Amino acid sequence: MEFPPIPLESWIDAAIAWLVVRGGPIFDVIGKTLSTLELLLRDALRGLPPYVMIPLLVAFPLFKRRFRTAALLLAALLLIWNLELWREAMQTVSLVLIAAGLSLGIAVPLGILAAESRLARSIIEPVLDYMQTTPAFVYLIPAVLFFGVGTVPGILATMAFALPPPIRATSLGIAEVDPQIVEAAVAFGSSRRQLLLKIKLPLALPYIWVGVNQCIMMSLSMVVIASLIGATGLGTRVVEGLSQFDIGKGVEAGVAVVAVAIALDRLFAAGGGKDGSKPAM
Amino acid sequence: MITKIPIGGAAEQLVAFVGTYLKPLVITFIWITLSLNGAFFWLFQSLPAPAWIIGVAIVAWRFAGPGIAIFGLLGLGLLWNQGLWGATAQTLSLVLTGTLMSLVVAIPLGIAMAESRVVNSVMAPILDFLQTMPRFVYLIPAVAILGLDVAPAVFATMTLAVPPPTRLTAVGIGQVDPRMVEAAEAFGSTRWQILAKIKLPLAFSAIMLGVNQCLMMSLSMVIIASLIGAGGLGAEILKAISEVKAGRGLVAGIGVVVLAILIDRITKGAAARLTRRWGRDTVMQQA
Repeated sequence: MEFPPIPLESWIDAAIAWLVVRGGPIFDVIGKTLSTLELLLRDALRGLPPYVMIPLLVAFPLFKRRFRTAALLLAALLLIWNLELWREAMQTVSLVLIAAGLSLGIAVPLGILAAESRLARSIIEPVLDYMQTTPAFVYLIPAVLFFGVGTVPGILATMAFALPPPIRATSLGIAEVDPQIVEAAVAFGSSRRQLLLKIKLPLALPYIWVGVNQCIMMSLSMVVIASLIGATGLGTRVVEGLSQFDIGKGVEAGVAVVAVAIALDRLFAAGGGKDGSKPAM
Repeated sequence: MITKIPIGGAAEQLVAFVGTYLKPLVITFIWITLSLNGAFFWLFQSLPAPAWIIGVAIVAWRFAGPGIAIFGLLGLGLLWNQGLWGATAQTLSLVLTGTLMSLVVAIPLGIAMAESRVVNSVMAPILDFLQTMPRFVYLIPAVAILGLDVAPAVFATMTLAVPPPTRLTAVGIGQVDPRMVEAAEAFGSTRWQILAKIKLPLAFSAIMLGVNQCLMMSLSMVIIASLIGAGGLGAEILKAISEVKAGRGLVAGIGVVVLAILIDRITKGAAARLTRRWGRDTVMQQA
């Protein structure tokens, strides 16, 4: 028994062509907005020279009297500067921040929805399962299909890849709020909105911070992969190192990626809980 | 400004050192990976695709229920129909090779970490480091030492797929109730007996979760490793991206997702069933 191949490829090609023609203006608007945002942030991050940026960033944990965090952050930033990869690193960071910001903007409301509504949860849960079993590489394909090659599809693929952890963290955090506290608030006549904004969200904040942190780390790992589809930055140097068999160049860029990961992790841990303590998940 | 720290140069020298002085080791590694991968690929080619697809569906039915079985039948059938069965077999052989070699390293290492404080304090930061590195970066040393093709793909896969099962094995053994160990000691068990008959069965469900994670990590890395010449579905995706052939890329991408879901659901189901038969599920006992 031999079936002729289903002409799936040509169907998909036709569907995408149709979508791109019909939805062209929408894709254009999304693309233009994102690339403008990215350009602005990149210029802002690169605008200050490293010897100004580094003290500013290190001052943040110092101000909170977290000396070990500050020391680690300083070491990571100095290493990036020393490797002469500051510009590339700032570009990677700007992509990460935009992608993670968009991702959180979608994820936190979805997480709240999943915690508050049983119906929403029964839809969101399996979708997240599928998203988390999908290998990173696959996220690049639809992004390239609709937005071609460049920073914009890189940002969008990264955003989608980094969605699940903050959704799960937010919904878990809200679900873990002590029901007695909720009952007490209801007894004092809180409306549903008050309950959410003044009781549940503040109490879920430590969890949400864990979600933010994970979202940023996942974004970084994806942004590096997205250099394959033209999201420039440190990842580009890694790819160049690979394709030119230039071990030194590739490894230096790789070490810089790790330094960026450490710096971002420490900076956002400094913004989070009291001593960077995380709730058990 | 002080001079640039010669990290790149040091890496180049390290690679040159490994290439000159550890050559037998490198050649052995290449030989093992090539033979394993070849054996798995031969296995996949030895039966026609429909036989494999039906076989997988039966296994899926047994371990993960009818839903996943139908999903497997349709998903793998689609891959075969689209002329991607060869690529699927290549990807699966690489995943199995990577997983097998990772587990051979990870499970003994996990046991050593649980049993010895020194090993634990040495390995914990190394595992931390391996897990924070973006996966892309692993490709560089792999290519530098092993060139292109199967061996570096498997090596890069191992760097990503070794940490989770190592951790889970160590955690599983660490969580064994010390009273059980004490009781066994009181009855005169040797250290080896305690490990083989008490600790490992009690840690079984954690170790199986590690196997599941190891497979998922392998799949994810094998796809990325198409960049350094690993064939299979990843290579199809890469080719489609570079030739801007939307349909082709998406079909191969769907194929990867089908594989990921099948592997995940079947191993989770199998783990639960095997734990019931061979291990003692500590988690279930506590609940």
